[in-house]
Amino acid sequence: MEDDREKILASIRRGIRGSDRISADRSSKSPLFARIGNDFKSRFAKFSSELSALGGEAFVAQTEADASELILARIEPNTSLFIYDDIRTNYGAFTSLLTESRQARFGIEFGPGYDKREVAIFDSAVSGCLACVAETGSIVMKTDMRLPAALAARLFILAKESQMLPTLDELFTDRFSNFEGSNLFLVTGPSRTADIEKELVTGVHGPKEIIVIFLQH
Amino acid sequence: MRVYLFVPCYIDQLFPNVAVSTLKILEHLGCEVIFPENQTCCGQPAYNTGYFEEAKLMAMHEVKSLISSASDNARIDFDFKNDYVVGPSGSCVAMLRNFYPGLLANDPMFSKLSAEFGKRVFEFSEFINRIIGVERFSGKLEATVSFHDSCHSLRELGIKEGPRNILKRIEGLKLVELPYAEVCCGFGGTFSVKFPEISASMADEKLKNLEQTGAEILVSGDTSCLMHLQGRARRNGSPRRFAHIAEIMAESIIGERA
Amino acid sequence: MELSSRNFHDLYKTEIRNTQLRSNLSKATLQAVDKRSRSFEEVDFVFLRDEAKKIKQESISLLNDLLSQFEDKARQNNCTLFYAQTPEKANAYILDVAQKHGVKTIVKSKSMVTEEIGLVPFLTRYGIEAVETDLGEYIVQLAGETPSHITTPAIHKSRREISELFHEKIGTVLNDDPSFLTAEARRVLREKFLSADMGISGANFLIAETGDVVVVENEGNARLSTSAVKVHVVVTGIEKVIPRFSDLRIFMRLLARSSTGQKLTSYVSLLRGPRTRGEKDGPEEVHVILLDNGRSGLLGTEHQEVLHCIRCGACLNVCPVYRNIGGHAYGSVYPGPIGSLVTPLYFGEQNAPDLPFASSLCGNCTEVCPVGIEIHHQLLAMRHEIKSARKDGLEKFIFRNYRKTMLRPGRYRIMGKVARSISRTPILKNLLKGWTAYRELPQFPSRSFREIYKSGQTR
Repeated sequence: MEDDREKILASIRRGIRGSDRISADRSSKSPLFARIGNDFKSRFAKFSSELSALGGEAFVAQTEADASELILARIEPNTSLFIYDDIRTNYGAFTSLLTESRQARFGIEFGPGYDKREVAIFDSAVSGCLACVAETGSIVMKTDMRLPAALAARLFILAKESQMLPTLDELFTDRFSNFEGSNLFLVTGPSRTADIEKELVTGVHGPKEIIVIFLQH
Repeated sequence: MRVYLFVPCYIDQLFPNVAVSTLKILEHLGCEVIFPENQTCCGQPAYNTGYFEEAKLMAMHEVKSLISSASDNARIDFDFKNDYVVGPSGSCVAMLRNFYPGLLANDPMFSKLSAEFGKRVFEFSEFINRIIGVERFSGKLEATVSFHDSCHSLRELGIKEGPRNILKRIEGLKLVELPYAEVCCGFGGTFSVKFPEISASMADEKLKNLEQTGAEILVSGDTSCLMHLQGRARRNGSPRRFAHIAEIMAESIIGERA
Repeated sequence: MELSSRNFHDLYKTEIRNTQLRSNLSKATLQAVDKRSRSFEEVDFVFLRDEAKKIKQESISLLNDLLSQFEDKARQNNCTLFYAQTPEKANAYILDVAQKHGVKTIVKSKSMVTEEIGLVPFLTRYGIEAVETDLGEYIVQLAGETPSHITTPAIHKSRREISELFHEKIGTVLNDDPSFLTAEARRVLREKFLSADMGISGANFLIAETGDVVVVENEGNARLSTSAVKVHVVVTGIEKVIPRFSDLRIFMRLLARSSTGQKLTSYVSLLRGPRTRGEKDGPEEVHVILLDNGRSGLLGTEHQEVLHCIRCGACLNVCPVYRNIGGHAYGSVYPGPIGSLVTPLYFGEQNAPDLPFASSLCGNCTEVCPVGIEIHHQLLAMRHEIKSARKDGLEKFIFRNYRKTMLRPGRYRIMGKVARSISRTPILKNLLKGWTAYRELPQFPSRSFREIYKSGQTR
């Protein structure tokens, strides 16, 4: 089907002809009133307070064993658990502790074009992340499988202290714009709606619970 | 200090006491007040209904008339450095100050004049706060009142605390804030007769909020809003009083209702 | 799209009598206004708004170049682009894509542009089911209605009404708890996500620098509509393109705050084309449809800045007119203050001649607009255009005579005196029906101010 590209672009050229080309001068000022401290402790405090306000939780764990404890305490024995491959590769001890007492499946068991219904059964998903943003309590993710994190009722994220960004200013930079792959996404608190009389309901299509654990290295 | 008194047409014809009170207060505060007799209407009803050409002609007439104390507009004696134009209506002052320059932008004579003129135009409470000094005024009146921000005063002129600061200078007067004070009362000029059901429904919301304050009088710097709210209140059977801030001030210095 | 804005007078008179509607709207919008104000405590609204306005002005002034740049990048990301001048063309293309893939069910996330082009009813006519997956949109679709708000489509409905609707349409038990109703919708929609092959979404921003499509949402339905499908179709307007990835630091801080009072929505998806090597899901094909439908015609006109709109809905929430009559009264998919501009501009002034007048010009819309559109001044300018184009009539006659009177102080004095002298007769009351049907006239004084002044009795 022939599209209207030339017609539309010509119409735009006619409209903007003679008008000034405006360049927004890039202000370096941050629109934030409250500056967030440089150290991890103050960034974590902000991240945690933002995420808690949305109904999520944030922790700092000393060891992988502590991290696995935190998760095991939150999921019942019969929970179906999905573990992203980056977790399996990067956190071996954590993964074995988790799978000792809980049934889990790994990303590697699924190939391209897998059956959606097979991942719709997971109650929980465990994944790493690219970054976290203290200002908003957000997690920045890029995964090789989009659906487990989008469908599970609980999402557990393991992060490194070094991944904590103070504000959105540090996220929307070249460092992140050059990502490889088809998508980058931010998760800020549980999936939610207020479409019925503005009453907040969480866990609409995605996670109702979001738990982020920062591992100290 | 010389003040050329701007009296919007509906105040002149329907609420002369607002203009009388304005005049009294300005003189009380030491101003020399001149009433330029050729002024009529600022043209806002035409402008807001989309009749810019009609409004433009009225704007030219009004500018010329307001800077001339003579009865024939022949001699302009307004001193642009020292004199002021002051009016008891945020809405009409916004027309003069904010909208005239745009409306008259293409007129060789009036484009510059209207901009210069605009700088000298003040809304009544604004004039007292910014030029005269609110501390120069004090009065006494036992009453519980709420203040209604007109949209033009609030958003076009940026007037919010000024009139409240004046009311706080009146001993015995209790000021109770209106819930949702910044929501429009629904007057909106010709809007009020083009869409009367919506306009009246907006008035009802405002009157409902007013009920909660326990105020005996609703005070405002814009009598147009008050005319609409009072008209609706009377239709609903409410006897509540609605008064311009100048009237309240005048009563507070004289001690009785004019 | 079904446009009934010509009947605004009939529509609003019906809606304003609906007290349930008014109470639903009042509660929801006032809550939204309050949440919005609080959400801006931590950031500088004026700074953000001015920056956003500058970026939008830049985007519009470079629209031609930015679209070409976006196009190049999106092609490199393996997206297919399609420019459509009209709704018909956009719809035909989408149908074609769907038919090529033998699609029966489409999962759709919120998109005002798809409402604008009437996509869902169009696809339905060709036997393709397009399910709205945003909860509010789903409710409205079940009810056979259209959205009444840009970001909260079912704002006009109470929980009881929704409970009854679900009971009737999807057989749930009568229970008006929002959590219960949401869970029921989730159950039905989960099955749709698992069976659908194609997803349709809008775009909040298109980034020229990277070719990204940015989708902002709270429920996770857009995440699924754009991920759990073989084919993803983005339908959006040409004005959505912005220059840089870094511009998001401004818009992301403004959009959710303006819309729902959140600092950020639960999900922000930056979509860069179909799945790449090493990815196991995500769409195999991504089509981006860029719709004009009257937008390019606004360039170079006084109304160009209307194209800055990011569809946050803040102007609807603060609008006292909207609060009293609701979105359906506007007879257009774009209601409220911004709708009163967009509707006549996109669909023709003759089709919405009353909308620019349906405002008290209180300016609250302009005050909250996150991209600095002077909405109420734009409405004024449209009033002027409409009146200038109109033939002589009674109203023009009245305004001409009113002007003539005001230019002659002597005549003004006499007319004032006459009007005041007949104030207690039915003549005046009849002349001012629009006023007196709902309000009392003030007590007309016997003397005007200037008469009192002349008499020297002001002291």
